[in-house]
Amino acid sequence: MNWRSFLPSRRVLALLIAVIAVTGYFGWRMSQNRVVRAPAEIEDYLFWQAKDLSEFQLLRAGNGSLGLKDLRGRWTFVFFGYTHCPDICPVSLAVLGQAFRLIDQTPERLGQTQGIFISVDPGRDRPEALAEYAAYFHPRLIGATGSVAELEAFSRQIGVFHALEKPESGKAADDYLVTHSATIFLIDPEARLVGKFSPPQNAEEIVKAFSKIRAIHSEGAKSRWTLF
Amino acid sequence: MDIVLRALISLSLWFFAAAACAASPEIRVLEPWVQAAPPNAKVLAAYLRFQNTGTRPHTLSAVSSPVFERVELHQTVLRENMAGMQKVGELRLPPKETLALKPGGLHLMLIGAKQALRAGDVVPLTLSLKDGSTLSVDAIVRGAPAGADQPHRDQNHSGHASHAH
Ligand SMILES: [Cu+2]
Repeated sequence: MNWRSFLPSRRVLALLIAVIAVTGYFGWRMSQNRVVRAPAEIEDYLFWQAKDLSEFQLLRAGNGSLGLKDLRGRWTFVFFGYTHCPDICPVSLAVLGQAFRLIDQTPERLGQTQGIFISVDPGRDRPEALAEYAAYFHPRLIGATGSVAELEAFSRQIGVFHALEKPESGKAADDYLVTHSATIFLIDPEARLVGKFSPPQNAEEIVKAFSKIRAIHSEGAKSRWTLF
Repeated sequence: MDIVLRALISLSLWFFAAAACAASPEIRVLEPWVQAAPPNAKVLAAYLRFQNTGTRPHTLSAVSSPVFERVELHQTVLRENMAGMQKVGELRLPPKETLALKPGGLHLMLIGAKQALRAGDVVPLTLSLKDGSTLSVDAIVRGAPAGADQPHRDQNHSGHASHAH
């Protein structure tokens, strides 16, 4: 028996190195990101990891454009829909309007918050009419849309899709239905996608979760935001 | 010959009318309401509950309203948080059952608003059953309940039946 037999075999050695490397990598990542642990009751509303949004362009009333800079420095609720949607959209937008009225009760804690209603139906929803439609639910709800390509690019960043269905035979070309996301999304002031509220939504529930998310956010404001 | 034919026609009409008259009181329409939407909305949704108090099945085949170009029966389908709508041809109303049309599910899609509608306005609806009878109800425009599946105020606003002869 020689001394070499006391050394671990190559296979074990390789495994050991792999384990150390993986542990080291995650250890390094955790030291880079301050890990903010979310209270269990709001876990459902948070993405596993906040997602950095990159530049995008959408169109709002008055020929103004809406981009990444309009998300920075404030909290943003986002909802995708279209104004020819009578069942899902008015209910979710009414919930958002109600949420804004609750938020307005504690502006010092929950201020700097806006909402964007993004129409994925630019063929029928012109920015001016869209602004009027959105403002009906709350004055701080902005209406925005864009070209098909712009809308698709932004939707992809949020992780949703939409589809314009074909009009039924015999119906006018502008008489069609749209399938779209029914989730309300939340973007933080660093333009990171952090939260989601799936249907059926409830204004009190959203505002309760929102204030907890903001508390966590101010705790870890300087760090990257990772939730485990 | 002419007399026989006319008698036959009037007899069949009488049968038809009798069937229609017998049908309508079995169907009650409870709490019809229209989801308030911005004044520039061209499409709205109406909700209500159908109660079939009779012993025979009925079928809702068409709906119309004087303040909209047309009305369609729709079903909202929520799948993996994606919302889509499907047109429903007709609605079966089984005996001794209540069918609820509510946000996020079955609804009457009111298409092509002829005027802006605000909360408190009344939308007359004519509901046609397959047996030829019709029901007329007035739906009130009102704001959304706080949650999509929240129960609505339980005011028994039942429809008044009228008959198509
Ligand atoms: Cu519909």
